[in-house]
Amino acid sequence: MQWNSAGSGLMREDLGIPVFALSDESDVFKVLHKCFFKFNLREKNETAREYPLCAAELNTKMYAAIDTETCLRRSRHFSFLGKNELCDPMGDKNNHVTMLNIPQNETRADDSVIVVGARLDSASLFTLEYQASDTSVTGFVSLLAAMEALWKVKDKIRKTKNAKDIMFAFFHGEAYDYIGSSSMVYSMTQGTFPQDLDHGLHLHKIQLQHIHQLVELNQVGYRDNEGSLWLHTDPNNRKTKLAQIQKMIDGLQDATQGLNVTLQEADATLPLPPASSQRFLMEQSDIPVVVVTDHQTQFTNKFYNSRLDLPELINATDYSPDLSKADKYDHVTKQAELIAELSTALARYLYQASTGAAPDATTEQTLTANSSTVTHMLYCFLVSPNCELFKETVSPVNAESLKTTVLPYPFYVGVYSSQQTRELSTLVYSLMARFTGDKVDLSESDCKENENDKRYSYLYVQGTLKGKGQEREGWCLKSLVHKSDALSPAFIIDGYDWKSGKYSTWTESRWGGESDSIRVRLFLVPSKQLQVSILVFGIVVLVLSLLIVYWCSIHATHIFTNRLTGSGTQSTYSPMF
Amino acid sequence: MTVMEFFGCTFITFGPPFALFLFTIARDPMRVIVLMASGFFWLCALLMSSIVWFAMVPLRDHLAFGVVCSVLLQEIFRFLFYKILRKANDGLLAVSQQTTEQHVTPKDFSNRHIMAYVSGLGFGVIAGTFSIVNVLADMSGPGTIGIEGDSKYFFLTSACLSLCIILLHMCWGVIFFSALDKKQWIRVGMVVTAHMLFACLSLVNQASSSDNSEVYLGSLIPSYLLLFGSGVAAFLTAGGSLVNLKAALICRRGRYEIE
Amino acid sequence: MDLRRVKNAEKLVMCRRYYLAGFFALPFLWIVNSVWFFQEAFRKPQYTEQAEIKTYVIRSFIGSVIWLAIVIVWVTIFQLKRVDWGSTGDALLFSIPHGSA
Repeated sequence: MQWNSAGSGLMREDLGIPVFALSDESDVFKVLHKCFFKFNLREKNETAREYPLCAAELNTKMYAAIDTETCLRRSRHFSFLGKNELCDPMGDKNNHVTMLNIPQNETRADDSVIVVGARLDSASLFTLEYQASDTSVTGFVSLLAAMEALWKVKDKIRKTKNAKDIMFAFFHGEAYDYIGSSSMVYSMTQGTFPQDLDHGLHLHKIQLQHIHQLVELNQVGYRDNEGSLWLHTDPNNRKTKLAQIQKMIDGLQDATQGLNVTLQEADATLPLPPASSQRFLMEQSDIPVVVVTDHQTQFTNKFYNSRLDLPELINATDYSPDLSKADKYDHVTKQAELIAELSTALARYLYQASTGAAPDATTEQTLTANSSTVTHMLYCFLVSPNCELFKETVSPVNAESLKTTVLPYPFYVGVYSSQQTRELSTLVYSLMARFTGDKVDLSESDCKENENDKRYSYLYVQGTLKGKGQEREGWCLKSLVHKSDALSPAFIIDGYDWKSGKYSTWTESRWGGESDSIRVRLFLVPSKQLQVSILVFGIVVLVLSLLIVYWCSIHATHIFTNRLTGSGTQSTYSPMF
Repeated sequence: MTVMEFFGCTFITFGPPFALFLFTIARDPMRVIVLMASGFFWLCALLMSSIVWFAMVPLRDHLAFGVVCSVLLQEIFRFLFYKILRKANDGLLAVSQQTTEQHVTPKDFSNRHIMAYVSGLGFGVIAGTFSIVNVLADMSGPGTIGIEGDSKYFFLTSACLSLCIILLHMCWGVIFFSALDKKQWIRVGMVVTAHMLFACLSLVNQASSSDNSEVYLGSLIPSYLLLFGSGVAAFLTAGGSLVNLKAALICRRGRYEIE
Repeated sequence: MDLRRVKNAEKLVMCRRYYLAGFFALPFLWIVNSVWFFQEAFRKPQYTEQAEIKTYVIRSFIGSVIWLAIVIVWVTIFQLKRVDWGSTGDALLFSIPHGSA
């Protein structure tokens, strides 16, 4: 089944030439005004311009070649010149948070965890040039808003007997063959999820048998004319777990009562669309899975994984032209409203699925997503990160770089690093800590992991502004939010068969050095006649001079004879003078 | 700008000096040594000029000042090399006579003009190299000059002017040394003046641009006229004459067995 | 070194040494041997050691030709086939090119 027939395979096409997208105005000015219009643009009467003409040289030399297996092998190749790294595995960190804090010395029953997930990243033809509005932002922002709403009633859920645990998971690297979700599933099978510790109090491991159901939010921005979203299921899954799936669908649809969102059940014969849940099903095919998307058959998003996946097109920037920056930030866009409705429905469904009973009236009221938060998140991720929400939610260390950032942070997963995460993952982690964590009274230096109880993670963030000045309160957030590696198991498993295609094997090539740098050069190119004439002139000069000098050196004594006349005989000629 | 322009300009600038080196200097180790030594003296002059330029902070942007200073220093170092060469004449002669089977003949020292010519050429080659080699290095890429508005004949003009300075130095070497030998101070002054004239003429090139390439002719034509004049003067100084030249041209055959 | 001034016996010794040393995978010595002693072996008038020198020169020449053939064949095969050889091809390289197969 082709889900994106218009766009399938477009990024893998080999164009054979480098392609650069210039977005800096001064660069575009140079190309157009100092190069093309000045030298190349045809005259009004259509005659071509004379040489010299303006040309550009595009250089995108990459070090890796052929495929990952070859590249990794070559990186390990012995060389006297030192390390020879050619490529690096891609990845980042997944973020997740559980509602309950079951420690490892207690039991976690089978089928007791509800997993709800979304993807963070996107891909594009051009580096750092895309906003991924529908591809991933709508999905994970909906999930974050649902999380915020649900955690408002966390005490009620935790007090309920036999409540199922709810885990919110944000997968990174999904655009590259599901790096994050395959990594999570692998660590679940190895028993190292969520925390890979063997001593101290830590969270009980979650493995595939513990998962009761899996709900995933995919693209939810481009709703069709009726404003519906679609609930997809896997036909094989239906064969074994039909009753449960039906219960999930009914529950989700019930949760939308009174809300401005419609969830329709997609045709049962359709396969599951591309989703992180696929990785879970690959490992264990009887986990009930429902995926929520904005399309039934073909993607409604014409700009999936593209730099044209713009917020304007999903009504996430419907500002009137005279709004100030601060007002734009607070303006609740159409998309924000729609997402808030969806998040509310999801929160209510999760409450019911976990506790087993529908929420009562007051709880239902509390379980409402805050559309203001949603619009703030959309603004910060899609328009400018230099916004109040991010400023409150980052650590003081990161706040500095936030001040100088203008463009949205990139949605590219990047190269895996065990120590660091990129901005997207860090910000989502911080938001999760803020929405689900408790503020504790610890100073910045004390705000770190407790040796005795490693279930909780601590994060120090700037917090809200104190009064009128620039000073911020500074919060220490204690939460159950954790990161886990999003690194393809192919790079972890010893002796993995690279040809098997089981896990993602994406690596990013290295590049660099003086002569190999990524660059575009503009210059003039002379006409062939001028070049050839200079060369010929040079050769003529060379040949002529050879002939003349040869002739002169042969005849030198006859030409320069005058010295012998009038300067006396040889004997008065001392060699000295 | 392509390899073609690179080779063309290299051949233009270094063709005649290469021919001169190949046929008149290469076979004789003593001449090669004197060539290298005089080149080194020119480098010293360049070093001194750059120190002076560096020291004169407010005048750094004024090209004319640097040019005038450099010319004077070069001529001073030419004078110094003359002194050293004459003083070392004895020693060099003794060295050259030790290896009896070699081709070195005392002729090199009996005809003073030969060493003057070699030292002039040495000066010239290194001066020309410094003048053109950076331009050549930039030439071999895919593009050419002009996107910032400069004239497209820059490379050709640079090569021609570099050739001119190499040959001019060679001529001036002969004239200068002979004038010092005979204590003809007027002639020494004329060499210095000619050098200054050439250098200042090249300042005219600064006014060129892509629309205004004719400016280059303003420096090229006088420079080559100067070269012709210096060449004639050097030719006559070294003992040549029009009569001899005509004789050699006409009676080409059967003449060289006399030597 | 000017062979004209060397005694015949010394010449023979030198020629033989070059010939024998060439067997230690040093074909360049054979090439030099055959070129340098060519005149001695074939153009000069007859002298006692010349016969032996002649054999050495001929054998050095043959050795050089064989080596040249081997080198040409190997280089051709390597240039054409290295990419197809995958990991063995990479193992044979000292410095692997960046960005190309």
